Amino acid sequence: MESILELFGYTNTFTWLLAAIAAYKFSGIYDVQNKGWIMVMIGSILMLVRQAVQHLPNYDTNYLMQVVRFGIGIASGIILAYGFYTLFKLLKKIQSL
Amino acid sequence: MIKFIKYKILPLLVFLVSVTPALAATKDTVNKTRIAEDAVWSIAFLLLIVLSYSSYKFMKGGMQGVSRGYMVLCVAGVTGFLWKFIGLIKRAGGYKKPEWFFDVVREGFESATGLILGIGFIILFFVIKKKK
Repeated sequence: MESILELFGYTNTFTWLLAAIAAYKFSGIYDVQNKGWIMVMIGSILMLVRQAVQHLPNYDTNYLMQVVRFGIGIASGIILAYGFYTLFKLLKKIQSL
Repeated sequence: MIKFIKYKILPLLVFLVSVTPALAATKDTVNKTRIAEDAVWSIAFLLLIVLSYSSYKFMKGGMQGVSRGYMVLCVAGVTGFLWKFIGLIKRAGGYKKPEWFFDVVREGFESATGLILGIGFIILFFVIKKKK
């Protein structure tokens, strides 16, 4: 069980790296939607940082490191949610035209 | 000025406020921070579901490729919501068993979310690049 969870941990770090790169590429496509996608990109990068922190030495015993990790997670979640909301508002604006 | 506050100062403040509990970190602080994180991310994934489903419906008529990309993002939103919501139930309720559900399934959804999100972005990127 422990080895499965460890494998998932490494997979997560890699997949969020993929998501961050993809969001970066995607933010450069539209001129109008740039801001929303840039927020999504920043959120994904912060999520990658959050995932990377758990692979640092002494992570399991250091509460400070754990709180910093989840703090970064909260910040990335808020930025990402704001990015999605910005894009949703823009979509509604386009629909009403 | 408003843009500067909105995009530079506000995210920085959010980050600083979120890491403040780290000054006096205990096991209880870790748990509370995780509950807050799970709640924030559940909302973020719900917004992703709403955004991608609305975009999917909007693009469905004319832009098939783009609508498929948004459909993939919608699936990522559902798996992401399940990942964070299971975590929220686990920590807020103090549940530990069954381990396969609260640990393995949850982390499985976590892996799936990152992967599907990445695939969704790549599909959208290539489809839109091709159309330009």
